[in-house]
Amino acid sequence: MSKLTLEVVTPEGIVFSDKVDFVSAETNVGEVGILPNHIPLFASLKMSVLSYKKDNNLDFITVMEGFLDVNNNKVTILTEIAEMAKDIDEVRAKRSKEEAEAEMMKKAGKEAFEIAKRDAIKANVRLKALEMLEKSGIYRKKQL
Amino acid sequence: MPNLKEIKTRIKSVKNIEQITKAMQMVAAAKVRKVQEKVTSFRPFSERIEEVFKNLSTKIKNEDIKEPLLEQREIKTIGVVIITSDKGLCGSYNSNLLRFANNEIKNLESLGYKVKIWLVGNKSFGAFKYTHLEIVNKYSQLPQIPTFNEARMLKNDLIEKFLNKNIDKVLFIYTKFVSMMSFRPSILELLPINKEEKETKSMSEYIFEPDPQTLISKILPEYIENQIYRALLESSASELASRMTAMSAASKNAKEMIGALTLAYNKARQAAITKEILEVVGGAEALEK
Repeated sequence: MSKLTLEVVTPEGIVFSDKVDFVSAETNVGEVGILPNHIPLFASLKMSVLSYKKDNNLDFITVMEGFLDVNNNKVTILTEIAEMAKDIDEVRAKRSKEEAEAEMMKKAGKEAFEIAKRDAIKANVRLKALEMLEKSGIYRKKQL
Repeated sequence: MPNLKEIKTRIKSVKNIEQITKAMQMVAAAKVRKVQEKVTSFRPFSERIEEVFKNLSTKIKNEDIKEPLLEQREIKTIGVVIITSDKGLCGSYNSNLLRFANNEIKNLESLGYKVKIWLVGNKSFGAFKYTHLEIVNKYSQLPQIPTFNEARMLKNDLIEKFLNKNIDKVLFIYTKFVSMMSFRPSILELLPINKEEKETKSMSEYIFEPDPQTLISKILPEYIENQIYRALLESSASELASRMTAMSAASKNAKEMIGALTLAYNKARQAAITKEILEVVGGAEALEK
Protein backbone atom coordinates (compact mmCIF):
# COMPACT_ATOMS: atom_id res chain seq x y z
CA MET A 1 0.00 0.00 0.00
CA SER A 2 1.22 3.41 -0.82
CA LYS A 3 2.15 5.72 2.01
CA LEU A 4 2.23 9.41 2.59
CA THR A 5 5.40 11.33 3.15
CA LEU A 6 4.81 13.83 5.90
CA GLU A 7 7.21 16.70 6.35
CA VAL A 8 6.90 19.43 8.93
CA VAL A 9 9.23 22.29 8.14
CA THR A 10 9.93 25.41 10.19
CA PRO A 11 12.50 28.17 9.75
CA GLU A 12 14.54 26.45 12.45
CA GLY A 13 14.74 23.23 10.51
CA ILE A 14 12.82 20.08 9.71
CA VAL A 15 10.83 18.96 12.72
CA PHE A 16 9.43 15.79 11.31
CA SER A 17 9.95 13.78 8.17
CA ASP A 18 8.73 10.23 7.75
CA LYS A 19 6.40 7.95 5.87
CA VAL A 20 2.98 7.76 7.50
CA ASP A 21 -0.41 6.22 6.81
CA PHE A 22 -2.74 9.01 7.73
CA VAL A 23 -2.62 12.71 8.56
CA SER A 24 -5.26 14.81 10.17
CA ALA A 25 -5.02 18.59 10.37
CA GLU A 26 -7.19 21.51 11.30
CA THR A 27 -7.50 24.12 8.59
CA ASN A 28 -9.19 27.46 8.82
CA VAL A 29 -12.34 25.95 7.32
CA GLY A 30 -12.41 22.70 9.18
CA GLU A 31 -10.66 19.46 9.86
CA VAL A 32 -9.18 17.48 7.00
CA GLY A 33 -8.10 13.88 7.02
CA ILE A 34 -5.58 12.86 4.43
CA LEU A 35 -5.05 9.32 3.24
CA PRO A 36 -2.70 8.21 0.49
CA ASN A 37 -3.71 9.24 -3.03
CA HIS A 38 -5.47 12.33 -1.81
CA ILE A 39 -6.01 14.88 -4.55
CA PRO A 40 -3.81 17.99 -4.46
CA LEU A 41 -4.82 20.32 -1.69
CA PHE A 42 -3.53 23.59 -0.40
CA ALA A 43 -4.86 25.01 2.83
CA SER A 44 -3.95 27.33 5.64
CA LEU A 45 -3.74 25.88 9.11
CA LYS A 46 -5.00 27.10 12.43
CA MET A 47 -2.99 27.00 15.61
CA SER A 48 -3.86 23.43 16.31
CA VAL A 49 -2.76 19.89 16.86
CA LEU A 50 -1.84 17.82 13.86
CA SER A 51 -2.06 14.09 14.19
CA TYR A 52 -0.69 11.31 12.11
CA LYS A 53 -0.88 7.57 12.15
CA LYS A 54 2.02 5.31 11.49
CA ASP A 55 1.79 1.51 11.85
CA ASN A 56 -1.37 1.96 13.88
CA ASN A 57 0.32 4.32 16.31
CA LEU A 58 -1.00 7.81 16.65
CA ASP A 59 1.27 10.73 17.35
CA PHE A 60 0.75 14.45 17.58
CA ILE A 61 2.50 17.61 16.51
CA THR A 62 1.49 21.13 17.42
CA VAL A 63 1.53 23.68 14.62
CA MET A 64 1.18 27.41 15.11
CA GLU A 65 -0.59 28.45 11.91
CA GLY A 66 1.00 27.84 8.58
CA PHE A 67 0.22 26.02 5.38
CA LEU A 68 -0.56 22.53 4.29
CA ASP A 69 0.30 21.30 0.87
CA VAL A 70 -0.70 17.90 -0.42
CA ASN A 71 0.65 16.81 -3.75
CA ASN A 72 1.65 13.42 -5.10
CA ASN A 73 1.36 11.64 -1.77
CA LYS A 74 3.57 14.23 -0.17
CA VAL A 75 2.24 16.29 2.71
CA THR A 76 4.26 19.40 3.46
CA ILE A 77 3.50 21.52 6.46
CA LEU A 78 5.07 24.95 6.55
CA THR A 79 4.78 26.63 9.90
CA GLU A 80 6.66 29.04 12.07
CA ILE A 81 6.66 26.89 15.19
CA ALA A 82 6.09 23.16 15.44
CA GLU A 83 6.72 20.75 18.27
CA MET A 84 6.38 17.03 18.68
CA ALA A 85 3.84 16.41 21.42
CA LYS A 86 6.29 14.35 23.43
CA ASP A 87 8.71 17.28 23.57
CA ILE A 88 6.24 19.66 25.13
CA ASP A 89 6.99 20.89 28.59
CA GLU A 90 3.72 20.62 30.44
CA VAL A 91 4.70 22.78 33.36
CA ARG A 92 5.82 25.55 31.11
CA ALA A 93 2.72 25.39 28.96
CA LYS A 94 0.50 25.57 32.04
CA ARG A 95 2.41 28.50 33.40
CA SER A 96 2.33 30.43 30.14
CA LYS A 97 -1.38 29.79 29.91
CA GLU A 98 -1.92 31.27 33.34
CA GLU A 99 0.30 34.22 32.54
CA ALA A 100 -1.45 34.89 29.26
CA GLU A 101 -4.86 34.69 30.88
CA ALA A 102 -3.80 37.08 33.60
CA GLU A 103 -2.53 39.43 30.93
CA MET A 104 -5.87 39.28 29.15
CA MET A 105 -7.67 40.34 32.32
CA LYS A 106 -5.49 43.43 32.64
CA LYS A 107 -7.22 45.31 29.83
CA ALA A 108 -4.00 46.90 28.69
CA GLY A 109 -5.26 47.99 25.31
CA LYS A 110 -6.38 46.06 22.31
CA GLU A 111 -2.97 45.16 20.96
CA ALA A 112 -1.69 43.73 24.21
CA PHE A 113 -4.92 41.81 24.54
CA GLU A 114 -4.50 40.27 21.12
CA ILE A 115 -0.95 39.19 21.89
CA ALA A 116 -2.00 37.68 25.19
CA LYS A 117 -4.88 35.93 23.50
CA ARG A 118 -2.55 34.35 20.97
CA ASP A 119 -0.25 33.20 23.74
CA ALA A 120 -3.19 31.69 25.57
CA ILE A 121 -4.28 29.83 22.46
CA LYS A 122 -0.75 28.60 21.90
CA ALA A 123 -0.53 27.27 25.43
CA ASN A 124 -3.93 25.66 25.08
CA VAL A 125 -2.91 23.92 21.89
CA ARG A 126 0.15 22.53 23.63
CA LEU A 127 -1.87 21.26 26.55
CA LYS A 128 -4.40 19.76 24.21
CA ALA A 129 -1.67 17.89 22.37
CA LEU A 130 -0.46 16.45 25.65
CA GLU A 131 -3.95 15.40 26.57
CA MET A 132 -4.45 13.70 23.24
CA LEU A 133 -1.13 11.99 23.59
CA GLU A 134 -2.10 10.66 26.96
CA LYS A 135 -5.44 9.41 25.72
CA SER A 136 -3.84 7.59 22.85
CA GLY A 137 -2.10 5.45 25.43
CA ILE A 138 1.37 5.42 23.99
CA TYR A 139 2.63 7.86 26.50
CA ARG A 140 2.53 7.94 30.23
CA LYS A 141 2.47 11.22 32.00
CA LYS A 142 5.75 12.15 33.52
CA GLN A 143 5.78 12.14 37.28
CA LEU A 144 5.85 15.75 38.27
CA MET B 1 70.78 54.11 15.95
CA PRO B 2 67.25 53.17 17.01
CA ASN B 3 66.56 53.56 20.64
CA LEU B 4 66.28 50.27 22.53
CA LYS B 5 63.40 51.41 24.65
CA GLU B 6 61.52 52.72 21.66
CA ILE B 7 61.70 49.36 19.92
CA LYS B 8 60.62 47.59 23.04
CA THR B 9 57.47 49.67 23.38
CA ARG B 10 56.67 49.13 19.72
CA ILE B 11 57.00 45.38 20.10
CA LYS B 12 54.71 45.55 23.06
CA SER B 13 52.04 47.51 21.22
CA VAL B 14 52.18 45.26 18.18
CA LYS B 15 51.80 42.29 20.49
CA ASN B 16 48.70 43.91 21.93
CA ILE B 17 47.27 44.40 18.47
CA GLU B 18 47.97 40.81 17.62
CA GLN B 19 46.09 39.68 20.69
CA ILE B 20 43.09 41.77 19.75
CA THR B 21 42.99 40.67 16.14
CA LYS B 22 43.36 37.06 17.20
CA ALA B 23 40.49 37.36 19.62
CA MET B 24 38.32 39.01 16.97
CA GLN B 25 39.18 36.29 14.53
CA MET B 26 38.10 33.63 16.97
CA VAL B 27 34.88 35.40 17.84
CA ALA B 28 34.05 35.81 14.16
CA ALA B 29 34.86 32.15 13.52
CA ALA B 30 32.52 31.02 16.27
CA LYS B 31 29.74 33.29 15.09
CA VAL B 32 30.12 32.39 11.47
CA ARG B 33 29.62 28.78 12.40
CA LYS B 34 26.39 29.67 14.15
CA VAL B 35 25.12 31.66 11.21
CA GLN B 36 26.00 28.87 8.85
CA GLU B 37 24.04 26.46 10.99
CA LYS B 38 21.10 28.82 10.77
CA VAL B 39 21.46 29.03 7.03
CA THR B 40 21.44 25.28 6.68
CA SER B 41 18.50 24.74 9.00
CA PHE B 42 16.57 27.51 7.30
CA ARG B 43 17.18 26.29 3.79
CA PRO B 44 14.49 23.56 3.68
CA PHE B 45 11.82 25.97 4.84
CA SER B 46 12.90 28.61 2.40
CA GLU B 47 13.00 26.17 -0.50
CA ARG B 48 9.65 24.68 0.37
CA ILE B 49 7.91 28.01 0.71
CA GLU B 50 9.29 29.13 -2.60
CA GLU B 51 8.17 25.93 -4.23
CA VAL B 52 4.71 26.18 -2.74
CA PHE B 53 4.42 29.80 -3.69
CA LYS B 54 5.44 29.17 -7.27
CA ASN B 55 3.03 26.29 -7.48
CA LEU B 56 0.30 28.43 -6.15
CA SER B 57 1.00 31.39 -8.36
CA THR B 58 0.95 29.31 -11.53
CA LYS B 59 -2.26 27.76 -10.46
CA ILE B 60 -4.02 30.97 -9.73
CA LYS B 61 -2.76 32.70 -12.81
CA ASN B 62 -5.95 32.17 -14.67
CA GLU B 63 -8.09 33.28 -11.84
CA ASP B 64 -8.89 36.85 -11.18
CA ILE B 65 -6.98 37.78 -8.09
CA LYS B 66 -6.73 41.25 -6.73
CA GLU B 67 -3.72 41.30 -4.55
CA PRO B 68 -2.03 44.68 -4.21
CA LEU B 69 1.37 43.08 -3.67
CA LEU B 70 1.17 41.34 -7.01
CA GLU B 71 0.02 44.39 -8.87
CA GLN B 72 2.33 45.50 -11.65
CA ARG B 73 2.25 49.24 -11.93
CA GLU B 74 4.36 51.74 -13.75
CA ILE B 75 7.65 52.11 -11.98
CA LYS B 76 8.71 55.62 -11.06
CA THR B 77 10.27 55.38 -7.64
CA ILE B 78 12.51 52.59 -6.54
CA GLY B 79 13.23 51.81 -2.92
CA VAL B 80 16.70 50.42 -2.42
CA VAL B 81 17.60 48.65 0.79
CA ILE B 82 21.32 48.59 1.45
CA ILE B 83 22.62 46.08 3.95
CA THR B 84 26.00 46.75 5.53
CA SER B 85 27.49 45.93 8.90
CA ASP B 86 27.49 48.01 12.07
CA LYS B 87 31.17 47.57 12.73
CA GLY B 88 34.24 47.82 10.60
CA LEU B 89 37.39 45.72 10.62
CA CYS B 90 35.98 43.25 8.20
CA GLY B 91 38.15 43.71 5.17
CA SER B 92 36.58 45.05 2.02
CA TYR B 93 33.11 43.81 2.90
CA ASN B 94 31.52 47.23 3.34
CA SER B 95 33.48 49.14 0.74
CA ASN B 96 32.73 46.54 -1.92
CA LEU B 97 29.05 46.63 -1.16
CA LEU B 98 28.89 50.42 -1.04
CA ARG B 99 30.73 50.77 -4.32
CA PHE B 100 28.35 48.29 -5.90
CA ALA B 101 25.34 50.09 -4.43
CA ASN B 102 26.54 53.46 -5.68
CA ASN B 103 26.98 52.13 -9.19
CA GLU B 104 23.57 50.54 -9.16
CA ILE B 105 21.88 53.67 -7.89
CA LYS B 106 23.61 55.79 -10.52
CA ASN B 107 22.47 53.31 -13.10
CA LEU B 108 18.88 53.46 -11.97
CA GLU B 109 18.94 57.23 -11.87
CA SER B 110 20.36 57.47 -15.35
CA LEU B 111 17.41 55.37 -16.46
CA GLY B 112 15.16 58.06 -15.07
CA TYR B 113 13.95 56.43 -11.87
CA LYS B 114 13.74 58.19 -8.57
CA VAL B 115 15.62 56.37 -5.85
CA LYS B 116 14.85 56.31 -2.15
CA ILE B 117 17.03 54.39 0.20
CA TRP B 118 16.75 52.33 3.33
CA LEU B 119 19.95 51.81 5.24
CA VAL B 120 20.82 48.85 7.39
CA GLY B 121 24.01 49.00 9.43
CA ASN B 122 26.03 51.94 10.73
CA LYS B 123 28.59 51.69 7.97
CA SER B 124 26.14 52.79 5.31
CA PHE B 125 24.99 55.86 7.24
CA GLY B 126 28.19 57.78 6.72
CA ALA B 127 28.45 56.79 3.09
CA PHE B 128 25.04 58.17 2.20
CA LYS B 129 24.88 61.06 4.61
CA TYR B 130 25.82 63.75 2.12
CA THR B 131 24.10 62.50 -0.99
CA HIS B 132 20.98 63.91 -2.57
CA LEU B 133 19.20 60.60 -2.05
CA GLU B 134 16.25 60.54 0.27
CA ILE B 135 16.90 58.25 3.22
CA VAL B 136 13.58 56.81 4.26
CA ASN B 137 14.69 54.79 7.22
CA LYS B 138 17.81 53.69 9.03
CA TYR B 139 18.39 50.55 10.99
CA SER B 140 21.37 49.83 13.16
CA GLN B 141 22.33 47.69 16.10
CA LEU B 142 20.58 44.70 14.64
CA PRO B 143 21.77 41.51 16.27
CA GLN B 144 24.79 40.03 14.58
CA ILE B 145 22.98 36.78 14.04
CA PRO B 146 19.72 37.89 12.50
CA THR B 147 16.37 36.55 13.64
CA PHE B 148 12.95 36.60 12.06
CA ASN B 149 12.02 39.70 14.03
CA GLU B 150 14.30 41.94 12.02
CA ALA B 151 12.99 40.51 8.79
CA ARG B 152 9.46 41.18 9.97
CA MET B 153 10.29 44.73 10.95
CA LEU B 154 11.77 45.48 7.54
CA LYS B 155 8.93 43.74 5.79
CA ASN B 156 6.25 45.76 7.54
CA ASP B 157 8.04 48.99 6.77
CA LEU B 158 8.59 48.16 3.11
CA ILE B 159 5.15 46.76 2.46
CA GLU B 160 3.54 49.81 3.99
CA LYS B 161 5.51 52.16 1.77
CA PHE B 162 4.85 49.97 -1.24
CA LEU B 163 1.12 49.89 -0.66
CA ASN B 164 1.03 53.65 -0.06
CA LYS B 165 2.57 53.96 -3.51
CA ASN B 166 5.50 55.72 -1.97
CA ILE B 167 7.69 53.35 -3.92
CA ASP B 168 6.84 51.15 -6.85
CA LYS B 169 9.64 48.68 -6.60
CA VAL B 170 11.89 47.35 -3.87
CA LEU B 171 15.45 46.21 -4.44
CA PHE B 172 17.75 44.69 -1.88
CA ILE B 173 21.45 45.23 -2.19
CA TYR B 174 23.17 42.69 0.00
CA THR B 175 26.22 40.49 0.01
CA LYS B 176 25.70 36.99 -1.23
CA PHE B 177 27.53 34.33 0.67
CA VAL B 178 29.19 32.09 -1.88
CA SER B 179 31.71 30.37 0.32
CA MET B 180 33.87 31.12 3.32
CA MET B 181 36.34 32.84 1.05
CA SER B 182 34.12 34.52 -1.46
CA PHE B 183 31.21 36.91 -1.20
CA ARG B 184 29.52 38.88 -3.90
CA PRO B 185 27.45 42.04 -3.66
CA SER B 186 24.12 41.14 -5.23
CA ILE B 187 20.68 42.47 -5.98
CA LEU B 188 17.44 40.90 -4.95
CA GLU B 189 14.17 42.09 -6.43
CA LEU B 190 11.68 41.89 -3.63
CA LEU B 191 8.63 43.73 -4.87
CA PRO B 192 6.60 43.64 -6.99
CA ILE B 193 6.59 39.90 -7.08
CA ASN B 194 6.92 38.45 -10.51
CA LYS B 195 4.30 35.96 -11.23
CA GLU B 196 5.92 32.96 -12.80
CA GLU B 197 5.26 33.02 -16.47
CA LYS B 198 6.24 29.52 -17.32
CA GLU B 199 3.38 27.16 -17.83
CA THR B 200 3.45 24.07 -15.68
CA LYS B 201 2.00 20.87 -16.95
CA SER B 202 -1.71 20.82 -16.41
CA MET B 203 -2.03 19.66 -12.85
CA SER B 204 -5.08 17.88 -11.72
CA GLU B 205 -7.33 20.35 -10.07
CA TYR B 206 -6.09 21.64 -6.79
CA ILE B 207 -8.40 22.19 -3.90
CA PHE B 208 -7.91 25.44 -2.10
CA GLU B 209 -9.10 25.83 1.39
CA PRO B 210 -10.20 28.58 1.86
CA ASP B 211 -10.29 30.34 -1.49
CA PRO B 212 -7.11 31.14 -3.45
CA GLN B 213 -7.48 34.86 -2.82
CA THR B 214 -7.28 34.49 0.96
CA LEU B 215 -4.49 31.99 0.70
CA ILE B 216 -2.31 34.06 -1.52
CA SER B 217 -2.66 37.11 0.68
CA LYS B 218 -1.66 34.93 3.60
CA ILE B 219 1.34 33.31 2.04
CA LEU B 220 2.70 36.44 0.35
CA PRO B 221 3.90 38.15 3.53
CA GLU B 222 5.53 34.90 4.62
CA TYR B 223 7.23 34.62 1.29
CA ILE B 224 8.54 38.18 1.44
CA GLU B 225 9.71 37.76 5.01
CA ASN B 226 11.50 34.64 4.00
CA GLN B 227 13.36 36.46 1.25
CA ILE B 228 14.36 39.32 3.51
CA TYR B 229 15.50 36.93 6.19
CA ARG B 230 17.66 35.11 3.73
CA ALA B 231 19.28 38.32 2.53
CA LEU B 232 20.00 39.31 6.13
CA LEU B 233 21.42 35.92 6.96
CA GLU B 234 23.67 35.82 3.94
CA SER B 235 24.91 39.34 4.58
CA SER B 236 25.72 38.51 8.13
CA ALA B 237 27.49 35.31 7.17
CA SER B 238 29.54 37.21 4.60
CA GLU B 239 30.42 39.92 7.10
CA LEU B 240 31.60 37.45 9.69
CA ALA B 241 33.54 35.35 7.24
CA SER B 242 35.11 38.48 5.81
CA ARG B 243 36.04 39.67 9.28
CA MET B 244 37.55 36.31 10.04
CA THR B 245 39.81 36.37 7.00
CA ALA B 246 40.73 40.00 7.54
CA MET B 247 41.62 39.37 11.16
CA SER B 248 43.64 36.29 10.43
CA ALA B 249 45.62 38.30 7.86
CA ALA B 250 46.09 41.05 10.43
CA SER B 251 47.35 38.57 13.01
CA LYS B 252 49.78 37.17 10.51
CA ASN B 253 51.07 40.63 9.66
CA ALA B 254 51.43 41.45 13.32
CA LYS B 255 53.47 38.31 13.82
CA GLU B 256 55.75 39.24 10.96
CA MET B 257 56.14 42.72 12.34
CA ILE B 258 57.02 41.39 15.76
CA GLY B 259 59.67 39.21 14.13
CA ALA B 260 61.20 42.15 12.28
CA LEU B 261 61.09 44.33 15.36
CA THR B 262 62.66 41.68 17.56
CA LEU B 263 65.45 41.35 15.04
CA ALA B 264 66.01 45.10 15.07
CA TYR B 265 65.89 45.08 18.84
CA ASN B 266 68.52 42.35 19.08
CA LYS B 267 70.74 44.11 16.57
CA ALA B 268 70.48 47.33 18.52
CA ARG B 269 71.24 45.52 21.77
CA GLN B 270 74.25 43.85 20.18
CA ALA B 271 75.47 47.18 18.88
CA ALA B 272 75.10 48.71 22.31
CA ILE B 273 77.11 45.89 23.91
CA THR B 274 79.84 46.14 21.30
CA LYS B 275 80.02 49.84 21.85
CA GLU B 276 80.36 49.36 25.58
CA ILE B 277 83.15 46.79 25.18
CA LEU B 278 84.98 49.10 22.81
CA GLU B 279 84.70 51.85 25.34
CA VAL B 280 86.10 49.63 28.12
CA VAL B 281 88.94 48.35 25.93
CA GLY B 282 89.71 51.88 24.77
CA GLY B 283 89.79 53.05 28.40
CA ALA B 284 92.11 50.21 29.46
CA GLU B 285 94.47 50.92 26.58
CA ALA B 286 94.63 54.57 27.51
CA LEU B 287 95.61 53.62 31.08
CA GLU B 288 98.44 51.32 29.92
CA LYS B 289 100.17 54.07 28.01
